[in-house]
Amino acid sequence: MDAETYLRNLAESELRRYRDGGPESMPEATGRVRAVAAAFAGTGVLEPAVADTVLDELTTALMIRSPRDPRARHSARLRHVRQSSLSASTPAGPHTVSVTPAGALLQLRAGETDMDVYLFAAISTPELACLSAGVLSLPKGSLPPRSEQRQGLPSPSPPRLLSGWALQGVPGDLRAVDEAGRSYDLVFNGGGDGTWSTGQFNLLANPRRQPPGAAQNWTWLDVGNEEHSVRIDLAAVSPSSEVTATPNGLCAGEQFLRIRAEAVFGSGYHDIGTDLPALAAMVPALRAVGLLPEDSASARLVAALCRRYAVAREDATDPPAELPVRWTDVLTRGQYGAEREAVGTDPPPAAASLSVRFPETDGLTIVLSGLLTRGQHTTMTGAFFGPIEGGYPEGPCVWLRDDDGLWHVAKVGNWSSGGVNVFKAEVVPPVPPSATAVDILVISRTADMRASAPLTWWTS
Amino acid sequence: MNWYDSLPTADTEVPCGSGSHTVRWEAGQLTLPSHPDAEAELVLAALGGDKPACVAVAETWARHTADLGVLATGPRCVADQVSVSREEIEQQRTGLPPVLSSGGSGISVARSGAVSRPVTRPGLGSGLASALASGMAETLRRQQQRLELLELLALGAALQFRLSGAVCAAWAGPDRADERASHRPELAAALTGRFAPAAEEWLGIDPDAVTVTPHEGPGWGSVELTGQGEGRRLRAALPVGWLADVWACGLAVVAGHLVVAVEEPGHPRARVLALPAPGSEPVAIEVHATAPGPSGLPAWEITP
Repeated sequence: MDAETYLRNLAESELRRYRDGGPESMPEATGRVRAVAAAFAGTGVLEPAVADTVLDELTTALMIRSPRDPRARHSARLRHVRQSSLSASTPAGPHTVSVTPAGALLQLRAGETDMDVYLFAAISTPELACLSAGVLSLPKGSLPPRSEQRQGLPSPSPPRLLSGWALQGVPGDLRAVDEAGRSYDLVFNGGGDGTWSTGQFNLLANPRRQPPGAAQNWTWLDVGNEEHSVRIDLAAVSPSSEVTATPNGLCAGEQFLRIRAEAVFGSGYHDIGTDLPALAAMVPALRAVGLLPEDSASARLVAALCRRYAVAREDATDPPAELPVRWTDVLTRGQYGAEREAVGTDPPPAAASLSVRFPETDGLTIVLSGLLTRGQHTTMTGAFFGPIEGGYPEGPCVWLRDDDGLWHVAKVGNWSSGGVNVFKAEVVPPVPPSATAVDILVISRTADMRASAPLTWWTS
Repeated sequence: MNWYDSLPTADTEVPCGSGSHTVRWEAGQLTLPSHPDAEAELVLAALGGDKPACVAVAETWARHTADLGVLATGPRCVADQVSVSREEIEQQRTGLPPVLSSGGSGISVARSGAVSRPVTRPGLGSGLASALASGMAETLRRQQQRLELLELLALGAALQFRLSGAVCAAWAGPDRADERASHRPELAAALTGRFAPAAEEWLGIDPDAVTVTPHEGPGWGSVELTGQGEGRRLRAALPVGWLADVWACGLAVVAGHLVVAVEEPGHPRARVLALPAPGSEPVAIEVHATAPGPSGLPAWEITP
């Protein structure tokens, strides 16, 4: 059967189920069709515009069959006005990216709140430079006095390009000066809750006369404000992580199903079980168009997940496989909602540089820059260079294994633009500051990449 | 002989001016009894006068009589109730740019008030189209198309089935075989979505176990039942014309017979080819309409 006919017949089936009182909500009624549309478009057997048209028509058809469900009609209207697009991104293609550990703590005590700025790593390309960072902001007197009395930077001249603009809980007056005396304004791009913020400080040359590629020649940077500064040594020789990339050699359908199954763990903050009906719907769909072998390993893993979550799979009959250890580690110890909130007895926040650059795969270059653990939460920072699809449904999926052998997955919650897709991810289960090293596994669509990195934690 | 000969006249009311006017479907045409000279009213509208709402509806109808989107959104069976309110359409229309919210034009209207097929395809004004990026223009065009579809579906069930029949008839002609080939997935889904409920009524089979492919060539097609119990599968090959001749006229299942073709359309009497059971040869039977059935379709019985 051709892909479009399969998709349209599936839409007819879903419409019947909805009409007969099956799915209770619009997302549930469109979930399987959306998943199969993505699978067909993602594997190249169906034009994305055609897949989108089928989904549009189904959404309209469902809407006009929900006379007493204003929410369904509203959500259908939203779909019709929404523009689906890739997130703001750098174009696909080769990316010259370097990532250098910073490992510095900037302690600011002169403002309205006490702030600790953890500087994880410097990320630079010929076009941009940034410092990935986590910022802790607490009421005055909450943080210990500054341990290092290094003086601040001289008054900015000329004044900041974006003076007076700052996010709550993030210092708005930080600058950097390189060894040639060039000055840069630090502009934060990220988010948080006012107490903890994570993201990147973009370095904007001030005045704007930075020669292209200057960032990649820095040997050091002084970073701070008039109160306090730290020097980041960017020329120090640090052992670079050895990265291996192994093409998975799978067929297109198997690759798609595999990355989608991994993304169930690595995207979003919802119950994994809610993703499974859509994931299971891809199995017969990909088989129907000849893109998935009968003995598909990924299909057996999907079957195992469905069995674990008691999700009915009327159209998938694969024998369940044994789940990978990394999945079971997260399923048993890292379920969403299973973590307890940070309490007063938790150890102080701790940060570690995690500076690894992975080779470009599937048009995407991934850079990891740091880990920050606070209580029962660990945040990982990094950046994607290349196109990333909104919602992060097709990976790559980043896994960490600590030196106790426990696996952790990075759940990418959001990312931001500014010339680069900098992400912050919740790592579940959290990585304890007692971990001295991690093995990193990045699963992308066509290849698995591995690296090992030592962790040196520092704290205020 | 025309597919619509098996359907009676159907009326609906449309708010027009300060009141409400009847819009009538009769013998395959949409007519406006309250606007006997609709063409003249269109000329007046072009000169700056107000275009009556019923005339606008008739124009929209004419633009969509070959629109496969009607089959993707419209009813699949009489139990499939499609409900659209005019208030909701207006609410959605307010979100569109002014050029789009004014509706399309370029439709010919016969002196009788019957609206004929469009002379030109609907589209954006060239100024706007050139100013917008092509992706945005396409998005807006699709939104406009969708709103027009909703306007037509708001005319009620009787006209929904008749518009669907018109679309199917437009695609069923022998001169459109090449176009059918390039739209086979849409037509296959349209057939499956409408034949499956009929098969369920006929055999009690799970509609998900029914698939239909468009049939080309001589003969009415084929119906094949395989398997037992929950493993039953029904595969059919039917011409697109089945949707117009049979389904749109409420003839899909008559007294336990699956109607596969219409030999002599007519209302209240027609002659059809029907399968008494899977695997049997079709038999010619006379049927007659008893009373208006649900959704403005006739209820049919076998004539003894």
